[in-house]
Amino acid sequence: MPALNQAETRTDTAHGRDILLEGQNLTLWRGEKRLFHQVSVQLAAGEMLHVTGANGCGKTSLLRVLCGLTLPETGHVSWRGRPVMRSRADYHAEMSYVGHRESLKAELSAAENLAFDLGLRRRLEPADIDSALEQVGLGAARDVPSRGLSAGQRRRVSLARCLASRARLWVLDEPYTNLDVAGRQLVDRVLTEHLREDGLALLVAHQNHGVDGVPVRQFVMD
Amino acid sequence: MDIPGLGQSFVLQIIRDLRLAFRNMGQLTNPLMFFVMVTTLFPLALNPSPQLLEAIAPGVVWVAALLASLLAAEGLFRQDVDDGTMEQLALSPQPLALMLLAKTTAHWLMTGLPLVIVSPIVAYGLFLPRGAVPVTMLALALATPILSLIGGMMAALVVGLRRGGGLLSFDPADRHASAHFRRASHRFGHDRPGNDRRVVPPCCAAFAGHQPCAVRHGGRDAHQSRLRPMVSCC
Repeated sequence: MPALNQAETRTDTAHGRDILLEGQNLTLWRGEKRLFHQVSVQLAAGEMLHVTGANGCGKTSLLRVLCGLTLPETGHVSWRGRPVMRSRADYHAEMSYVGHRESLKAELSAAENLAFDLGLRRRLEPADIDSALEQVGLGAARDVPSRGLSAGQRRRVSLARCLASRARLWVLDEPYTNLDVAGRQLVDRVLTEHLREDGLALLVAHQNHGVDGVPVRQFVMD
Repeated sequence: MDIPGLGQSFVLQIIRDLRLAFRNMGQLTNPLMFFVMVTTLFPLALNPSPQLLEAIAPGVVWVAALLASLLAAEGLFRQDVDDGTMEQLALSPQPLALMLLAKTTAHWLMTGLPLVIVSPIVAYGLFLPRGAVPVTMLALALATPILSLIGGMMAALVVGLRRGGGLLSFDPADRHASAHFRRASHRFGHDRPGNDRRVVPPCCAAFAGHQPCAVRHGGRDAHQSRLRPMVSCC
């Protein structure tokens, strides 16, 4: 994990932790519909923000705004005290995103997909990919083209990308989708370990998570 | 964190796109087959006299190259947007403009370079003078990258539209470019004057400025109010 620059962070007085991610007064419209208005969120090291709400209320859009994928109508997002639009590369180097889609090329194997995605982020050792795939239970499927994997296995490959990225901030949009019981437990386990190592997580999920023993902020959208 | 350099990322993107293309051979062969078929059908459809074919050959080669390039350009970013890999690219620490330039370079290697390589055969079939063959190859080698860049820019602009493919062919920039290339072909074929170098800087500048922005917002955000005018213009 990169060293925390104290000069660039603020301290959350309630928890005594450094606030790394902050979204202030965020407003977003989709066509004629206002998805959210003047929303502010803060996330400190070791914390998770669990966003819930009805279908179509804008949970994914909020995540995309916080990631820097979508520009808000008002407000801004900052990482380590700096607006993400001015430090995009630094922010994205410390972030890993699991979206609705698994972001895998069907013609490439799980290992080839990971090698490309992670190769843009950091210098890889061959063992890194094998280790990540082993952790998500796909060690034997490393050379299987993604089109030959089940939806749950593809979800696990996305999770392996997160694990191997060594990113500080995990952004997970419905990570439990298509996963069996063991898969959901796996998500909870790696998420808990990540948070205990002072990582941060933004989670959008309808069901309750099994993360235990770490601070979790709830954000309900209406 | 030890982030890989720009050159390494550029090469990584090209290798991945080439690997994908070789595992999906249709993507690789369709533009080439289109180019060969169009240039072959002209002598069959018109009078196959050497004088007529020699006169129309430059125009036929250029129009076929332009259409073959456009044919392939539509899918340049669409699949990446559909399967979510574009999101990962946009969220990588590498500059999106550079990665899209790498994708466009790979696109040229898959669609433009084969046209240059087969052009002597096409030139032979259209009775082009032997001395004009190297000039045709050189001209195609210079023009096809520009066609890929223009096609990439247009593909980026329409990537968020469900029926964007049709718009690609009618875009004013393409018509503008085809006019330039037509002049270029006449110049090579019949010594007609033209100043075709003018098209290169604006195309490259437009590509550099518009492509990453359009791809970043072209997907699900195309209908956001802020971007609506841009989409409407397409």
